[in-house]
Amino acid sequence: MYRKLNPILHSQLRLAVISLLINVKDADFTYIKEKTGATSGNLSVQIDKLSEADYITVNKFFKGKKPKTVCKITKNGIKAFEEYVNNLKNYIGIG
Amino acid sequence: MKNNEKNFNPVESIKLIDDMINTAKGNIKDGSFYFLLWAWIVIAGSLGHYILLKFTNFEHPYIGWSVIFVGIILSMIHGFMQSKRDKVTSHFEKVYILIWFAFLISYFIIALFMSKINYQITPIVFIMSANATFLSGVIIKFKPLIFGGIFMWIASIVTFCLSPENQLLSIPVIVAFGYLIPGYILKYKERKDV
Repeated sequence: MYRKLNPILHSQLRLAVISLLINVKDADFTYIKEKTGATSGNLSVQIDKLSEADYITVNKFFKGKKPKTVCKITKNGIKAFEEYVNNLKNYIGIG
Repeated sequence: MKNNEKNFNPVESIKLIDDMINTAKGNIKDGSFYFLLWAWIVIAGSLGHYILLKFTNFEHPYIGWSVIFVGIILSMIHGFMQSKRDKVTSHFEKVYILIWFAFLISYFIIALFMSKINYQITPIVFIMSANATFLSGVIIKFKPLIFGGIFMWIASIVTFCLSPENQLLSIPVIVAFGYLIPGYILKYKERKDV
């Protein structure tokens, strides 16, 4: 039986962000923007949604005079991603 | 491109995950810098020691190795500049740094007590270098470094059988094959990947 895919992750940009963060310790906003090809505005909105779901943590601070936003996946995020991938496997018949 | 959420099917999801994971893979930045810097530092140190020992009456020929401090300072400056530029930290990077930190700690302990092991420091340092180089190669999935590590393990066995003077001369050759060649291949690969 197919399980519904997690709607928070089943979005191109949010899934791209989570897939990127699963492989690194943490990543800067500009790095995520560069790799996903998203606009700053859209990326901010999607990052907020992931943060509200407790899938990522967002740390904003100043490094020297420059503001920095660093994102990091949480344990909940890792669990949700793993479940999402397992459900995907079921859908395409490799699970 | 990622703003369009229509027709986003499971196969596309898998492809997107795959693309993003590949994007972030092997994020060891400027890895070749340290290999090349330390290869040249060690070559300079060993040749300096050998020249002072063989061709001068200088009482402390091992002073040639003080070039190591130049390497430490240059590594620290490079690391500091890099941390200012970095936008991402990979899981591998932390392990990679810790491997070489462990090497440095072990090196200083051995250097401090070398009189207790009959000054047989060269083969032991090669064993430790082989460990760190081999593991670095495994972590960044880069075969020339893995082979460099294996080569240094074999070289350490050979250096155990050499006289201290010949050990000094063997260092540049071993470092050339263990560090320099893999380091330059890594540098070439980094340029190609940019």
